[in-house]
Amino acid sequence: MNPKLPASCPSCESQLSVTELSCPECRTKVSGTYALPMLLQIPEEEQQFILDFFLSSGSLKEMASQMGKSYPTVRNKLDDIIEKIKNLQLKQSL
Amino acid sequence: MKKIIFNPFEQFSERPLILFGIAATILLSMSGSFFNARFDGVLDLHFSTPTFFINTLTDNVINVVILSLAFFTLGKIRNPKTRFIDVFTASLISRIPYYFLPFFNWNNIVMVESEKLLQQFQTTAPGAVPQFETSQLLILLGFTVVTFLFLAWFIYLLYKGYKVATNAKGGVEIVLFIVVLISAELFSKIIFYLLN
Repeated sequence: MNPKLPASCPSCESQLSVTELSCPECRTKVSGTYALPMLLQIPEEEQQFILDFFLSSGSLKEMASQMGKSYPTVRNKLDDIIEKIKNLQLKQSL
Repeated sequence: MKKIIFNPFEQFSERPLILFGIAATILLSMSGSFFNARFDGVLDLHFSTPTFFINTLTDNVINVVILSLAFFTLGKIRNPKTRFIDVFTASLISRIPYYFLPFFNWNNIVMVESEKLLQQFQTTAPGAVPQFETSQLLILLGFTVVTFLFLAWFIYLLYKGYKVATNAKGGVEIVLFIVVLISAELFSKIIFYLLN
């Protein structure tokens, strides 16, 4: 089982940040405070959607046939993700 | 199965939906001519004799065109990415449940009973209550219930199709949808009045 990377605090729902990175080979640890990249702040399912969109060369028609959904349904999903990322960008710029 | 009956627009692409919609419209328009029904408005169904296949088919084509144009205009205003083909598919498919209503006028039963009811009201003295037969009331009440169910199915399908075509969300979109549906009904009544 692959554990899911949490993007928000389970206690207060604030945005989480990375404070430690470690090398699995030599066990070196790096500490600091790093903001999560934009794409990691959206749910895993939406991250997968973006990856699939990239791998199908940006063809929504191809994605629709792969997903067994209609073209407007896939386009709506993409529009919703774009809207979500725009909101995250706006929140970060404030 | 539930998705196919209540929201096929999410799953199927426009080509199979349009082919199915056109075939169903042509085939089921025959039901109107067999059971003497005219679809003389976007939300209308009236029984009259004689009714010919060409009349019911023309009715349905006019209704689909009016619905498509009305909801495409609204969709384009609310979301510029709206495609005509998706709204047309929604209009074509959503009306299919309505085409089954004439089957309930088997042997002209609903038409005969409703005409009888009108006559009863016309011949009864003012203020007096006409004498209804139980079977007559059951037939008319049953048809009313069935009509409401099929009308609700038609509007639900139309809204789902419109929603998929335009990515509509929230209460404002539902209100606008209802306003445009009523406007389309009024416009279609004017068109049918001018044509007849």
